[in-house]
Amino acid sequence: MVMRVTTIDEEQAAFASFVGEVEPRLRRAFTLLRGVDGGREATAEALAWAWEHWVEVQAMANPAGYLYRVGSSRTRWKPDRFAPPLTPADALGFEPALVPALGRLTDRQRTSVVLVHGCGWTFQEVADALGLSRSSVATHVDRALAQLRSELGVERDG
Amino acid sequence: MGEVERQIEAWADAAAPDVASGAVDVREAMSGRSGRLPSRPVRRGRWALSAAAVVVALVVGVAGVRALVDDDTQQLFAGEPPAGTEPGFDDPVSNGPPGDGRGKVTFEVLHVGVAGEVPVGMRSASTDDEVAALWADLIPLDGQAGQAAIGPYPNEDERADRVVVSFVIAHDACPPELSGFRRQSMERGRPDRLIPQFVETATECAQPLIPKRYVVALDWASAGDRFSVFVDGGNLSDPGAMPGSATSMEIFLDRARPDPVLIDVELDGTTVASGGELAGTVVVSNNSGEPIDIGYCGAVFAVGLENDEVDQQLAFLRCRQQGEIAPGVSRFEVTVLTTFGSCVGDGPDPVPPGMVACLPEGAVPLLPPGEYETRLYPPDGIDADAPPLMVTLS
Repeated sequence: MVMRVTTIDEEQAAFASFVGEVEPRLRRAFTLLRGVDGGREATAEALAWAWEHWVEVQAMANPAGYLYRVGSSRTRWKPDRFAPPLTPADALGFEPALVPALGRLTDRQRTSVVLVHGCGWTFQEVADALGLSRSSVATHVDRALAQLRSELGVERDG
Repeated sequence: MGEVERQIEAWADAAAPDVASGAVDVREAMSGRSGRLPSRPVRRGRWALSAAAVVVALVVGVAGVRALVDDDTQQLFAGEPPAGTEPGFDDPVSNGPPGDGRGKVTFEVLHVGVAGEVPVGMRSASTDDEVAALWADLIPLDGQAGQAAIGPYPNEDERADRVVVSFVIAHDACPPELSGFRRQSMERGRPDRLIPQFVETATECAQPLIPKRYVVALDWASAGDRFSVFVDGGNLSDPGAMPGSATSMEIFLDRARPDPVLIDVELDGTTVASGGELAGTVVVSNNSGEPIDIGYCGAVFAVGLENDEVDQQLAFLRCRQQGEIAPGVSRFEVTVLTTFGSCVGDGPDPVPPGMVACLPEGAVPLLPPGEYETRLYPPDGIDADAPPLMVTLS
């Protein structure tokens, strides 16, 4: 019989690997929705919670999605409004009106469409992150895109 | 990919470039929150007093309802279920194939806010009118204690596929996050129970110490066509919960009967010798969120038997007792008789149509053996009926 003993160092190494994988996804999502400072803080909160609950987190099918919920929840005492990052001076490829139009979406619509099309999350990952059904996420995304097309004067394509 | 989707991607790449600067590193994550983030003030005092007052009102309300009950045969439960209705076993859930009503329950949290001064427990809404009424009751609470305003009910096109349930938990400060529903299989053919599961995600916050209301839309396809939502107050007795939070509440939902009041009859058996008795329970789920005024005499509910040939001729006392059925699930014990309820003794001959003659010495005759259906006799004020059960008299 071989008995495996997991040491603290191994746990730390596993967590470090986890942070390396998940942190960029979380921070991108939070940064886009809460701004640079707010996004970093929410990410830090989520990862701190992950280490405190490392055993449970390792068993999660979609830890990034759940940690998004944790980060949102632990920073919700802050003003819960869209705080987009500053538009970079060399930004190309999008209409300046896009950011204010995103700000006029409902919270659910904005979060869903940004996570799906700005972060590359799947509908199911967003559903896990927001505690919604997959079909609800799809509805939010569809409605968000329809409103954005209307505000930006873009005909439906693609 | 469409034009707008491409623009969102371009904006995201420009606004949140994948650079290492500013990353949260492992050391920071493992150091926890203390010393890095500003601590959030915990406001107690005034809100603690308000919360205690709410609990007292709730307990008094339950006691008042119970006091209406005839203590011989009728037991009205507005709080914890009575003995003998304990769940059969816990189903670790969520592992059933999708679409059979046994898998993971999908839902959307539509609103989390303070419950107001008078928490009314649980409530459901499945029709347009019920949803509108629920929203109308919640909107006046907007802005109280700093809670967010409730928005319009989303996804109107999905309304037929979902049922909205509103429930209140006693909990202080930041409400725990609703992470899912645990499915619990029940005995005696009762529908599954769905028990909300909460996750604490905040150790301290500035939100007020007062019960919190959750408004949740559950997908019928994942929850099943018949189920109950059970808020287990006993499991909320963590150190942060308010005293008195052990009051449990439950409501039943039935996709085929989208009524604010659902009634089911449960019997201890379905076969009995003619002349015998069957014990049973009338289960009333008042999902309206408000008490229902009723008028009755003696027993609140009665259950009889009938078929195409036989009318049991049950007789009822004439009197006028007033009562109410509290929101949530109430249970009334009943006894189903297998004799006629009345008969014609020394009198007209032949016996009038629809009546039966008494046996010698005035005894009521037994119902003849055969197949019968149950018939519910509700009190005044209750229009809902219960699906009939088949009973065999041998």
